[in-house]
Amino acid sequence: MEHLKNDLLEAIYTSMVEIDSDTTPKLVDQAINANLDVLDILDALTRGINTVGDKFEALECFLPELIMAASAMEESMVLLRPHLDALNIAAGSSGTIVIATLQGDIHDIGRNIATVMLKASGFKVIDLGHDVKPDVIIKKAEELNADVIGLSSLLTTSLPFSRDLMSLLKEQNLRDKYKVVMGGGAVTPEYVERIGADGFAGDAASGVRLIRRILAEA
Amino acid sequence: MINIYEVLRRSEEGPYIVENDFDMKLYKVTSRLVKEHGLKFNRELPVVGDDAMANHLFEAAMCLALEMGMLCVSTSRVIRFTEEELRLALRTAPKQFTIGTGRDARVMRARTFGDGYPMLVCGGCPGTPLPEELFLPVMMSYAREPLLDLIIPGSLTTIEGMEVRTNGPLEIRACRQEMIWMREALDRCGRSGVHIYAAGESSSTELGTLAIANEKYMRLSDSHMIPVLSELKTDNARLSRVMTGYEYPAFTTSLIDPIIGGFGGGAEGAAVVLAAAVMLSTAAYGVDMHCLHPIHNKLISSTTKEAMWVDSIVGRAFANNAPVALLADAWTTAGAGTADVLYEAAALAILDETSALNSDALGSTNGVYPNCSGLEARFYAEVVHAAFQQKLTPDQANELIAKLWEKYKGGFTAPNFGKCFDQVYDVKTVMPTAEWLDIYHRVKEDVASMGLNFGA
Repeated sequence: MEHLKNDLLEAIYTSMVEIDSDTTPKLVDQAINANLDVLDILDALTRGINTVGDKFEALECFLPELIMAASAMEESMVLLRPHLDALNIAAGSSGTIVIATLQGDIHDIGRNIATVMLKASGFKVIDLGHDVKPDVIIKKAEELNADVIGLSSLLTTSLPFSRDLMSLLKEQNLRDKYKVVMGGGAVTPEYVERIGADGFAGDAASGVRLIRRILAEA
Repeated sequence: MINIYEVLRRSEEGPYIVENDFDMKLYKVTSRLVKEHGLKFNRELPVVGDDAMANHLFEAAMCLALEMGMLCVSTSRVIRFTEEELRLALRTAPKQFTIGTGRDARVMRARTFGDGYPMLVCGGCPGTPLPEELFLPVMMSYAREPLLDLIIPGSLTTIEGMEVRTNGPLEIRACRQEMIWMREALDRCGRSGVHIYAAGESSSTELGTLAIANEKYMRLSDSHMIPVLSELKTDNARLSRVMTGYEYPAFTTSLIDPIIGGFGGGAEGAAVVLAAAVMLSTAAYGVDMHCLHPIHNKLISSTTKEAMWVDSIVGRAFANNAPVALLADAWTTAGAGTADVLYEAAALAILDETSALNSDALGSTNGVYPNCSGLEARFYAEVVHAAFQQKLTPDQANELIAKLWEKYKGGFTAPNFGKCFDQVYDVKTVMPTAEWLDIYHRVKEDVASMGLNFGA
């Protein structure tokens, strides 16, 4: 029995790493029906998606595969969540992030990568897309009771809209409610500090680490 | 170029596709083509000397361009071209033309191997945010360098203390001010006729291009850029720039930034996507030049082995099969005032020169900080001319790049962004500081000791 259990968990891990995205949710379903510990299943999935993230950074797999792996992870989490909830375990909802590319900027790819990596790391991520006005971002964060607002910009000329967002948060007495993190080609740590946001990430992986850290400190 | 109205018609009436489906299709088709054409990235040989593989890349790119077309994201319609149209567009694209005016005029060429002409070298600080008070001296530091054949402006980020915003009225003012100061910088250095490349860098929208489409700002001997959205996409804003260029015929350049690790896949796929984008933008935009700017998904810089290989094989592919004027962006991790930036510049200069490319300027710190100056651009140009005079073969170029790589590779994990312009130059005299000059001389001596003959 122990042997079968390990085989199934290994198969879940392998299906994630090999981006066999149709198979992963089926294996997770099989593992749940076989009464495997849901935390062990979650661990196999998490190890798998983390390996995919590492491979992406090392150019051993590419953005479409990362998206497929994240999609398999999401589908699997839909199956796992009721069982985790029954155990009163909050895995898979370690924080809610509203993410957007700033007003005037139509670049998606960096934000897409960050969204995928964050989802894969267990965060609930609401991606508002590109060219989003600061007030729309705040409204959505309020609606969803988000923990973090993530802003992306590749254009220097769209950066001022992040300062507008910070001002709006202050004017609406919402500044302490959200952590604001930023990334993208035009963003620098100095700019983030200057406008009083909470953190800068140079790439998606460091963005995940940053958000984990600032939420743990909150 | 296909008739512009036909391009616009196709952007409204071409096959409908959801953007995500286009992206995933691109990945599948590109992966298949990479395999079918036997393309293989070799990190030990960033300068590609393999003509057969370069030719395979060209054919793979043609297949990709035909199968995918160019998606107009404003309409979700694909602008498709036939093979005959694409090959005709490449055949009739300008092969040599004069940019700039008077004694500062230069002939831009669609380079081929062994044609006897060195590349044209562009100086400047593409995409780099420059404060108003530094704009003029920074640009003068490039204008003063006689080896720089054309110059690209930096980006003005404020006007009278107010930030320039995308789609805002200050984009108009910033682009006009950028051109006024660019021309003043050239005048003050006695080089009024130098070609201003990618005019309107202070705006990211068509507002900037429209604002300077006037002899008072962007002359007909200058040029502006029309980006291809990653990957193989355009939109009405980009097509508006095409229309602007149609009726105000300054020179135009497509800007192509495939992401290595993105929807094209790895280095091989990114190279196929880049080459396909050159073909599609020749047909759809009718540009005179193309700016190649592959971006590493994590390390960004042009000096990664992957990005260098992509530039090199695309250069060889077009030189062999359909010469067009290709200018490679040279974006470095390090910034002015460091040895690292000079080693990175040298590697790119050797790679670009031996891959039949022209140069799009050196973008210190990947255009993030105003840590840039004319001196590192001078060094890039000196290395280009030395490599040309020495007639470096791909093998010799790879040997030199391997040595240079050892000097700068540590910067990817611990970047040395260097110093702001006003700390490496005297802003009043526009002369490099003794410290920065000393670093330059030491690195030049070191690169000479590696086997590059600056005196030849």
